[in-house]
Amino acid sequence: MSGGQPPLRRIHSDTLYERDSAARRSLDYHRTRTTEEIVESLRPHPGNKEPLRVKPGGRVLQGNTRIKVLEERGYPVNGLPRNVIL
Amino acid sequence: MNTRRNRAEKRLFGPTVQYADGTVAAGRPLDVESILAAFERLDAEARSAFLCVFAHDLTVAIRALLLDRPVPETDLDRAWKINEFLHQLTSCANPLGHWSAPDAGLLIRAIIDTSFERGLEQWIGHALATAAAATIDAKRSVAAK
Repeated sequence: MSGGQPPLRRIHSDTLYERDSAARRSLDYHRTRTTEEIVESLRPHPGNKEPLRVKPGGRVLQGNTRIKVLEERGYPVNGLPRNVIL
Repeated sequence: MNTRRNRAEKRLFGPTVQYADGTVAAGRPLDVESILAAFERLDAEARSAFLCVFAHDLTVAIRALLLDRPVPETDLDRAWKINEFLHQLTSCANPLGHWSAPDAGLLIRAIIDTSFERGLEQWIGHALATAAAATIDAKRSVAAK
């Protein structure tokens, strides 16, 4: 747990990015972005149209590829604020 | 009168946010009438953007509904219904189409009404709040600067 939040669990597995060319394309795109850009794009705030969205248990419904890129860079993703789908 | 009262009872709410320390900020109630009125005042490009954000947000709802197998019949029905919404919204969002602003507003209103009948109001509220903030509110803040 990070504070009071359960750890994030991506619903897109690593093998998806090997099998699915569209997912791979998306991954390649997000790898070109800076860490700061990605973190900001995940932050829930009015005006952000694609924030991090998770189930209460931590499964990621939106932001999977961006979280994967942050994990690759060693960023502490579990502390990110999130939209929770109750 | 009854319709107005029913609308007031059936409220939509914006996103619920959880912070790193576990604190949860519940979604705020939406002023649907103001959002729809502002939507109809947007120019065609901004209306199209609103509809795209609204539709994109709903794809997350389908992910959530179909995530755990087996999927209950009621959630399959909900996913089907959301797909119908997406079918209509993406047609309406097409800049080569011929939807007027009032017609597009009526479509959103119909989707809102249907959401209460199908137990989809959580998803529609989130999508509506997200689309409004990304387009209507964004436009207002640019105009204010």
